[in-house]
Amino acid sequence: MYSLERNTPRCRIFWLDGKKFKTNLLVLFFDLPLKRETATQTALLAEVLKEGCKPYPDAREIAIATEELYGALWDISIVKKGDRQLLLFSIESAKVVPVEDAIGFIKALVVEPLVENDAFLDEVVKRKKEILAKRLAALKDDKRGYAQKRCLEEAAKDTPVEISADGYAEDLDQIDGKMLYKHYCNIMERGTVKVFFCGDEGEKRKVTAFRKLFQGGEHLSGFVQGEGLPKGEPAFIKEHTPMEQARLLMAFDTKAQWGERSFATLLVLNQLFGGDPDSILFQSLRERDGLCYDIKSYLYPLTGFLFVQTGIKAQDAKQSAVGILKALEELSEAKVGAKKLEEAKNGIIRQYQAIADQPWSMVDFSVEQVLVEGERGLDAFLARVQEVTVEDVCRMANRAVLRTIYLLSGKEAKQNEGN
Amino acid sequence: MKETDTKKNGTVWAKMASGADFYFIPMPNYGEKAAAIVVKAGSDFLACNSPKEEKPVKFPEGTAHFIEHRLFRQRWGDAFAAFSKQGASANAFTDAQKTVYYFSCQENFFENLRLLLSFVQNPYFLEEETEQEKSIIESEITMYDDTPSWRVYYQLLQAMYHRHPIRNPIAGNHKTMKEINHKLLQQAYDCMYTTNRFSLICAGDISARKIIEAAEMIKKSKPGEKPLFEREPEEIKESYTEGKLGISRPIFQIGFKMMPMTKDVLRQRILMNILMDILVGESSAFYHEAYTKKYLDEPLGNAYFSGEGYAFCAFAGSGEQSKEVSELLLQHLEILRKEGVGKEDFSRIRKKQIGYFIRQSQSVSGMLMGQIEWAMDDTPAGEAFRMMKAVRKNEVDDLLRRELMKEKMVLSVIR
Repeated sequence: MYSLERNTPRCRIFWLDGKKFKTNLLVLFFDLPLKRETATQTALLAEVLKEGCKPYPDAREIAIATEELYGALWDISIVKKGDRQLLLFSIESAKVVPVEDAIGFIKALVVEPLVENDAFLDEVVKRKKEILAKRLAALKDDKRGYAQKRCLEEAAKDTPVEISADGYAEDLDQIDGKMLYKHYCNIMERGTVKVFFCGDEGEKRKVTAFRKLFQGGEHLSGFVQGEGLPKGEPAFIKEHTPMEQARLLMAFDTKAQWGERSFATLLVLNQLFGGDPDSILFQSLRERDGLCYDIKSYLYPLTGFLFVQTGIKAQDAKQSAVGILKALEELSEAKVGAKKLEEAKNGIIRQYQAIADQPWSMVDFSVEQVLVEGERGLDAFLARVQEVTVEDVCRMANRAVLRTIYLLSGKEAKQNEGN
Repeated sequence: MKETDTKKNGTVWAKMASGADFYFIPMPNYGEKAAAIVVKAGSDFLACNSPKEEKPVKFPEGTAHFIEHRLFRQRWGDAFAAFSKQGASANAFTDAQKTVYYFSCQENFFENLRLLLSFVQNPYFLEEETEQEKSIIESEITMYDDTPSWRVYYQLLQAMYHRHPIRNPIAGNHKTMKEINHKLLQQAYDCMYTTNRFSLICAGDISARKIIEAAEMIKKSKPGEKPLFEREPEEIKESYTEGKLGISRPIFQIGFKMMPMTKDVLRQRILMNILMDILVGESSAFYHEAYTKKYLDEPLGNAYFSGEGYAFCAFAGSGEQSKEVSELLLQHLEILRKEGVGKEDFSRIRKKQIGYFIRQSQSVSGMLMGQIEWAMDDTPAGEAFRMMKAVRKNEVDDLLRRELMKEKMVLSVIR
């Protein structure tokens, strides 16, 4: 799916064939280990860098510049993948815009920040700290997102996966422009860089210019998969927030590893479990029992966690949790028919084939493959899915250990608490 | 299919013998293929003249949405699951003006297309299942009730509109939903699902000829009655409205009630997108000032909505300073009205909108969703793009002289 450019020790560049698309997509990211000590600094850094760089000294100048590039879509964002925190710069621009312009824009944002006396501008850092603090305080307002985040934290307790890539409000106070600039320099000098370009083959040479920017340097410590898997009994966590409906989440640890054969099995298990409208969870909890409107199971990138989430009446929490466990039990007893298994596999294959129709999906898939050092391409990946048997699914379902039951509920639950 | 099929910038557009519209967007070298049936009847369809009785027939709020839920149920089983089995992923949605059923797949496109065309024309509403569906819809309504952005939007509309059904939530409410039964679903289906209200939209690397053959499955029905609306005053109902949901950071929407359009609907939509971006977008003087004054941390979201009997735009943001934001917005509107939109701003933002269109047009689902909207204005994608490139600055200035007036502004806040 992608071809590898020549490497330098720290920077690898990948090209994805985007001939059929009407845009070029350029993604550059620093692959950073997720650490409690630096998570907030990195999250804040993304915000500060967005505020300007030497050629475009404020956010308005940046906006005008990208509007001139036919509204090129750009961002500096934090992406959490397993126990990694990616500091990611991206620009997607119509092909009428020269690739050099897009490259120049991203390059300026990455290497030409606005700095005075070895520090980011005080005013900018102060404002961005306030904004980040407000955003962190408001995370709970998005009930669904908050419940997902909390359930992951509980399920991955005592591992780096529990660390929030959005940062922590209590860490913000101590950060100033000087400290943040030091962190930036450290990332620039030592961070592992990956560049993905999805565009025309004739243009890919131009992207190799990034190589020169990131030479030498000792790597920031990396990532070992399967490290520090959580142990102990499943936890039942109950939290309250003002809301009518309760959100129930359950986390299972399957110990499947991304990039390995077991991951293909986990994908199939997820599909059968709650991946689509024909899945056991959808058909039983929603269609048969009418317990909910939305229910689905999903995986968390670069981990072996399998989650279920649904919106229910709080008084139905126990019945729903039992229903979910029963559905998994069905899968662990090899009750899946050959036809059903084929349909599930076809469903997955279809989803993954669709990746080749969207530049962002192509990059995202490739990033995950590169991060787990499983650069085998889409076809090899899908061949593995094809090989999954009923017995594999059954074994995987048996292996899934319930880690966490998380219930976020509002008024109803509080009224019922005395019962 | 008539001889007068038109091909505009790649989009095939035709009127079929059944009265349905047909749009096809060829996308060579794409694996994904998608199709949608758009029925031009949505949650606003609450009353129409009855062919049999003197008095108009009325439907409870949420009827169109209820049909959307139950239509997948067929005599032979569940169409939703059948798409899955045929390698497609299907879905549906209802909004004020339309109900849409769609799927996407890599293989078996024509099997899935036939399934789509068949199930939308074959309702099978059973009493017991209709009753059972109520608990699922109830859960859906409660889910929306918990969603701040949804609440702030409907609160805005309820302050803006006196009577027009756009003010009602799409799924109805807990009370109206209970009034619906299987007989009523059938009656409403017969009124709404007439083939002159259908549009079939297909996108992907597919043969147009074969689609047209399959589309003959749409059997012509007699034309349906138009939905009836009560007269809606031009004035807003209230200029400020506030609700509580216990969120830590308030969210708000600032809306302007506008004159409903009967022609040039798409042109106005394009002009509004440009105008709103010039007014509140990332590079706007308004946002720059609001950010400096710490009223806003990020640009306001914006959208324009129009349909039969209504038109409005809404600007969405968060924070404690919603009143200050709305006042600042009015100030900048006045400046723009007085001085006219900047020439450079206009051409830059139009360029940006063209870029957005280009980005959307490189994905099968993007084109499908785009054409679903353009079909409501009887316009093929290619024509929409051409129109976007041709709009002029003075049209935006004209629009500004007519619309977005202070006395038509509503501020809705959820805390």
